[in-house]
Amino acid sequence: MPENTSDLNTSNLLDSVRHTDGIDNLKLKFREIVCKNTHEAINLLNNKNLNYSSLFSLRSVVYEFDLHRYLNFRNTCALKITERILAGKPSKTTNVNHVNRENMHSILKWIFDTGCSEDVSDNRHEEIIEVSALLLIKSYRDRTILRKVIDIIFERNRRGAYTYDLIWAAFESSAPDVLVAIAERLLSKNEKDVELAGRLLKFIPSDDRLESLQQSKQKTTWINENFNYLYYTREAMHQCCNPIPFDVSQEAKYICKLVSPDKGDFIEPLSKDEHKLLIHFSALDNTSKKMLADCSAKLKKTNSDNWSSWLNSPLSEQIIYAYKLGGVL
Amino acid sequence: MINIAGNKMDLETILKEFPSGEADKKIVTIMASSNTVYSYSTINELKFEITMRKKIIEASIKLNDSRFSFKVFKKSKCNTHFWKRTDEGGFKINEGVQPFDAINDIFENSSKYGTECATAIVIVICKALIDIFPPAQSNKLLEGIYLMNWSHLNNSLGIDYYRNPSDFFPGDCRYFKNPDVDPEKPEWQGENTIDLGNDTYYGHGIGITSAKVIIRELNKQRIPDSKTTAFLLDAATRPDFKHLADIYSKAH
Repeated sequence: MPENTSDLNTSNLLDSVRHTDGIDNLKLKFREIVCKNTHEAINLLNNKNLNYSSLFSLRSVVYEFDLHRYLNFRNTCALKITERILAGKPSKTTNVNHVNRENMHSILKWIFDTGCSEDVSDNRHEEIIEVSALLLIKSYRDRTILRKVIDIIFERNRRGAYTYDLIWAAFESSAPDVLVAIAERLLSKNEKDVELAGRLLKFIPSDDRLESLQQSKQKTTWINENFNYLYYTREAMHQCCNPIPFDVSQEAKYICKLVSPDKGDFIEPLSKDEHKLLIHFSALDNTSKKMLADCSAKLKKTNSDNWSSWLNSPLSEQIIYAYKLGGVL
Repeated sequence: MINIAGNKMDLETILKEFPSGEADKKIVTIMASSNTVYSYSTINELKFEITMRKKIIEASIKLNDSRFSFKVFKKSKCNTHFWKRTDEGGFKINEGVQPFDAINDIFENSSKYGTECATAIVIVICKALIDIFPPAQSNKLLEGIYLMNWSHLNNSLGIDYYRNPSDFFPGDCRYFKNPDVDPEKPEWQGENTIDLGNDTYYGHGIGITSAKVIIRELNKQRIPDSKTTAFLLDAATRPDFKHLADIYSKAH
């Protein structure tokens, strides 16, 4: 059956019925359409604008009328993925026969993008969305969905639902952007949001004696100041009570070079001078390293010329300057 | 090195305090031969730590021998007479129920319970605690207990995670990490275990076995063609033995 692409900018009739009249009425309406005009029913399903949640809600009707034989590639694969996940069959990363990696990525993305914000009130639908997110992040390194994943985590947390696998996946993306999105919740008016955000960002240093608003600001400042130098340590809630999922590469911060958040390696090769600087730097104790790294990042931000001459001065002079700047030894 | 009330103790003297028990001797020997100084205010403080470590081992073996099953949080189950299963899959103690009875019920009516490995380890630590402390004190220490992996621990236990400690001891909680886990099976991202000594570990769902077997089991649950093996982390989770010993000594 050809795909109907005539109404790309309008919502699909099936989605509209589901939104306004609910899932039971959607099934009734769809049955009616199938009986009157099967071709139209199939076109509605195969339409590019269809949300996954409608396909999910109608899958019993699809099988009842044997319509699955006429579904397009996207829907056929999406239904196979759905049934396999719900059956809890052993997977080898959602191995659907004859679907290449690129297609699988786009189908999972369609499932997630068009299903994640839909209220279907069905645990099985939530499970499909969750598994899609885990696969997209872990297997396809897709970071475009992270904001939505964070939204889902906090929405689920508000109603006391399960969040741990999605939290794990969000951190496994190794993207510091996740911290930014979580930190925004520190200022939420919802107590549960603040509690969860606080728990997830507990590893970020802040002064416990301050009020929570001040602590939140400290955490946000820490993320912003260290963003380019953060790397994922792979510590997770599954393994301990106080994980430190992200750490600062003090070496990178000292010479102000970006690191890969995935492994903590420098993104670009270092020059001979930078290598030399790091040899001296590596001999310092951790407190001095942190003081110099903080000083370097501050100087670079405020005055690039001063930063350059400071960085090329002897290490002992760098330390004296950093100490005067407010560093703690 | 072991230091009691500021005095360095040699192994022979200390061992006289622990006439029986393989685990006792092993723990004391590791401490005494370490470069790290293990300081205690009294010999009883050290004895408390060793007793609790042994109780953790005993509780692990008991739980392994029971019908307590492995379930992912979404499918976890508990005896609702004592616990309320929360929507996120944890077990919150019912109002009016004493933690002492509720923890014991997990071992007595084990077939009514099922959860993941991290919560199992927390249960083991709680069981060790109630096997040492009298009911009234146990109830106070575990007041309002909520069993849900490492997320909702009672502060009174002082459970903490130690990165790269100099030594590992029987009774430590150790973690096997599986970095390339199949994303559809996040429950296999790692295995929380109790070190039982002699390269044996208790991991809920895997059982009592060697590190090699645990790694082999985790490796079976990786993404296809992964070349990154699971491994044992150089870290340990421990309760605050000294803090608990202090509470214990004040009550006795």
